[in-house]
Amino acid sequence: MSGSTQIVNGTFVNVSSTPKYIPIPNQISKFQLWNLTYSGQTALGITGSLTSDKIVEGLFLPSYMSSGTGIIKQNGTVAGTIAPYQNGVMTINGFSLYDSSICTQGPTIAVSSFTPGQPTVFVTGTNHGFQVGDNVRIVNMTTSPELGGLIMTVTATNGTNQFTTLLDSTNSLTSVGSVYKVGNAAVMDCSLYYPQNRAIAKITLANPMVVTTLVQQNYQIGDVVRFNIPTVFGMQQLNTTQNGLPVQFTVIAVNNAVGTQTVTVAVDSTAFTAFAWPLAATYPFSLPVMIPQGEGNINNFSSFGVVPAPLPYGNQNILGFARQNLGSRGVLIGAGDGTNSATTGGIIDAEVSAWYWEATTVEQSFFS
Amino acid sequence: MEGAAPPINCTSGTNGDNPTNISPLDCSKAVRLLRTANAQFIMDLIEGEDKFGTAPVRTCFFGLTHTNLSADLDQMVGFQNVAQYSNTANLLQSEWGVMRNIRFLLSSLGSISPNASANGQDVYNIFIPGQESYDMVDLDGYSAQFIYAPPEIASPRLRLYQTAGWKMAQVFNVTNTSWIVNLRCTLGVAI
Repeated sequence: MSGSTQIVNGTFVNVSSTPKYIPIPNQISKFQLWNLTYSGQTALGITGSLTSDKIVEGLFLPSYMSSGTGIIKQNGTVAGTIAPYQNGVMTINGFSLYDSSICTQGPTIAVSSFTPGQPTVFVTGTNHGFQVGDNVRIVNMTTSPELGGLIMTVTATNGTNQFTTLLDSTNSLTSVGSVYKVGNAAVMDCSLYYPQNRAIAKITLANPMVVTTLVQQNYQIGDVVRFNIPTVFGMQQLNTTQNGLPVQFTVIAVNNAVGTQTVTVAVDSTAFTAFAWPLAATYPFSLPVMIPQGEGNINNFSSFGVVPAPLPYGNQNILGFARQNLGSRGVLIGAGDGTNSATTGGIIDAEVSAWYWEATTVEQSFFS
Repeated sequence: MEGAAPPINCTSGTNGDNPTNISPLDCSKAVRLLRTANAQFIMDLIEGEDKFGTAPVRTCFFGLTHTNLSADLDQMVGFQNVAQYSNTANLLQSEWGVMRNIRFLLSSLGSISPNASANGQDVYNIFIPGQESYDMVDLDGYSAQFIYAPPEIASPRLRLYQTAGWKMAQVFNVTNTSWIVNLRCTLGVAI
């Protein structure tokens, strides 16, 4: 091998049970990852602990391996200061390459049924291969056409033929259909616009009001939003009134964790009409969406328990980085139980660990 | 615009999908939404003239969409092709015609969301901006650069290859999301 092979490296501390996206602009020929903490090394402020039955090393070769997989080395049972090294493969929640400039669609997989309710558990005819955090779209829902076309974040999977989303399908009939992957919550949408509209899963009748979105959002405290709620969904109090002035709300809390996906806005909705996903009879209709409108301040929301942060010091220019180029390419590392289990596995687990990674760009390769 | 413009689905078409194919009523609904938000029209009225087969054109927004929609637009009752404008002095090269208060500009680069409808068909995004609903900012005093690196620079050891590329430093802002709409539709006339 010759030429100008390049290696870039880095470290990170993971968030519990959350996939990690590492932006790497280079062409990636090989990606390697080590868990320093479970290897017994104290680093990045995390105390090392040689741990049994945990993944401590991962390898991904994009040219030869499927997205979401990996070759791993996993500790066996620790004895003293040593653990046996077990080789294995990841079949779910491994490594994936992403390029936000390319809108790729995953293979279409048959949906066998779903259980009406909130959240909604879908059953597929074959192994779907989705990771927690993937964004998927359902289409061709024969007996629940009102749900067709929705994009939702996968909040849980059984590793084979079930996945869960925050959709409230209480008023729908179970149905066959199709599903395909369109992206991942940890990676910028290929439209590269920030902050984006978000379709709404549910809205509480509460003070303050909490909005749950079908796809993870990236809103911040201080964002100003408005709503477009079609009549069939109820809660018309949120819509712009007849005088043309937009009815706006300030975001006072955000929980962007996959599976929670809530935005709390400064309004008392206890007397509003309930929000509900409609019956199939009302199809077709537009989606209920939350629309970012601008930025404000949280100086006057002490009645909602919000500590004032008056301008110009608090909450200033929170949309400033909306003008930055958020496009990137890189590696997504999946989350699960920290093992290569075919049903619950994933490289990152519920613990907080220190990690070291290397990405190699090979300029010349020779094949025989 | 696909990420920013508030989406509304065409619902008055007849193809049984969601969104449906475009209809005159969907055009009226989009215009109503924008006008109720006090969005300003882009184009002035074209007054009627004494010419056979022509008609005046209302004050209009532009509808920016894909050329695949041309047949669906032609199929709408009341659609007026540019050839039927009472005055064609200020036509744009990409202009196809007018429906209600929307003059449609078509491009093969128009926005399509693949397989995104309820029935898994392509969804066509028709962006309808009002005046000053979006703008563009050039950063750092330049908008685009084309950069060529000859073999002596790109691969100095063996001079095996050269590179060429471009970079841009532009930002598009949506200034008021109430003044822009993404009218989504599917095709009624198959390709």
